[in-house]
Amino acid sequence: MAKNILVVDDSASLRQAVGIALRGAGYDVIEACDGKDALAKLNGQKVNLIISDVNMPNMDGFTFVKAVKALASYKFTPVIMLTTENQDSKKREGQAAGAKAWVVKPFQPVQLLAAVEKLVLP
Amino acid sequence: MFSSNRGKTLLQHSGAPLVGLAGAVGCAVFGGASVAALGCGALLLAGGLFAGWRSQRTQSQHRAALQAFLESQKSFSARLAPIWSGHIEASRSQMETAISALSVRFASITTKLDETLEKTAAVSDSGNSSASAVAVYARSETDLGGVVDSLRASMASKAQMLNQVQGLQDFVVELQEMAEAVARIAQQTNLLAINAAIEAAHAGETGRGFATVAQEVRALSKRSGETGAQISAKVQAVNAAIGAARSAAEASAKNEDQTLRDSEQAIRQVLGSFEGLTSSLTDAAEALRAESRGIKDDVYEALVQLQFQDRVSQIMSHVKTNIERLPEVMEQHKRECERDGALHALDPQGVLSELEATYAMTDEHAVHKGRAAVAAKKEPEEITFF
Repeated sequence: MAKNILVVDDSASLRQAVGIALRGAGYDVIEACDGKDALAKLNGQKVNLIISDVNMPNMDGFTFVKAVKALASYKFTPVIMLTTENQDSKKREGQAAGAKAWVVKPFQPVQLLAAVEKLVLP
Repeated sequence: MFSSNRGKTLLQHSGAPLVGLAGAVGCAVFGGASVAALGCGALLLAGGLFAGWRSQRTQSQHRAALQAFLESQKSFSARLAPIWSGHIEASRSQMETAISALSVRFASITTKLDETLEKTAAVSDSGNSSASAVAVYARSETDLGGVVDSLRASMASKAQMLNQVQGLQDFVVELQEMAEAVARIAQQTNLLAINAAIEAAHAGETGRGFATVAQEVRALSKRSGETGAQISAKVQAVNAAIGAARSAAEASAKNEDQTLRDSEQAIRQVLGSFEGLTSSLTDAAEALRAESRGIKDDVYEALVQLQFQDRVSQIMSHVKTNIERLPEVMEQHKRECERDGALHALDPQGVLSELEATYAMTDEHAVHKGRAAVAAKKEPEEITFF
């Protein structure tokens, strides 16, 4: 059975780009357009990894990661932040929220897949 | 907060009546209560009042002009900002839609590519797939080899039968000899019967019975001879039939042997062609796989490049939000000018600071500081693991 990955980004084209890379590697992808939408779509279903943007409307990436980590079911679900932000202060904020990796856009599919394979839950 | 260099206050324009009043009082005090002094004071007072009236009028006109100017500035930004912002948002939205559609196309290309590769692999792979051309070839070779083996076995069986038929001819020879022996015995019996008849004749009346017996023996000998001849004829007929059957079987075996050789050759040719076809198919599939990998790499590269849309979209959003702040900034500037009764120069620093606070990318900071323009192609950065 394929592993599930939740992709959260307000840019539809970015979600598509990430989706192509992940589906090409055999993963199933759930898409959400912001943190609020992501929490609604999770709805208790198992995900093996989360990839989230930082700057999004309604609920930003940091708030979403904190919220998802507060849920018992997703406490140990690894999170990769995928963002245009590259300041160290932001990276520290992401780490404090519970992220395991930080990928700066534009991302290289091969690089992203390597990070995914390293972190994805069995 | 967005104004500075405060001007003179309006109080500086309302001093004329006071100066006139002070002059009038001075004339009255220092000139005594003379008519001239009073007149001079009255004139000074009137002059002061007139100057004050003029000053008030000028001030009022100045305020109106100031109000009109500030209003025009506010109106200028209030009308321009939404249109600029609208155009930026429309462009951002169009770009987002177009790039999304493009990404969907790319996704479709990669999906179809994967499906095609999967189907091709099923037919051409030398792996475990039972439907693959290589597997079908191997199975065909085994099956056709089995058919040839069956033909060989059948021919061997026929050869054995031919040997047995050949063995029958030996029996026929023996039968022929036996028939000849019967003929010889009949001949000798006949001679004996003749001798017996002669001896019976010599014996006279007493040998009459013996003569009858000799005659019967002679008749039996004749019939034995005839039977022997018949047996011989039949044996020869059987021999001829066996010979004919053997010749026919030999001819048939020869034909079958030729047919088997032809079949083997035909099978080899078919299998050879099939092997060539399988090999071509496998080569074509490998080439297709290599091409597909190339196309996938190109699609991935395109995906990297298409991410410019997300970056551009964010920059446009930041600028749009900043532009949308302009009417409010102008309104605040107007209020400050009205409050102070003077024009203040507009200071962009506050708006620029707000814009800078929204930046997410190094490029934005660089452009803000007037540094080098953004590179056309962005190389992906290293991944940070925590």
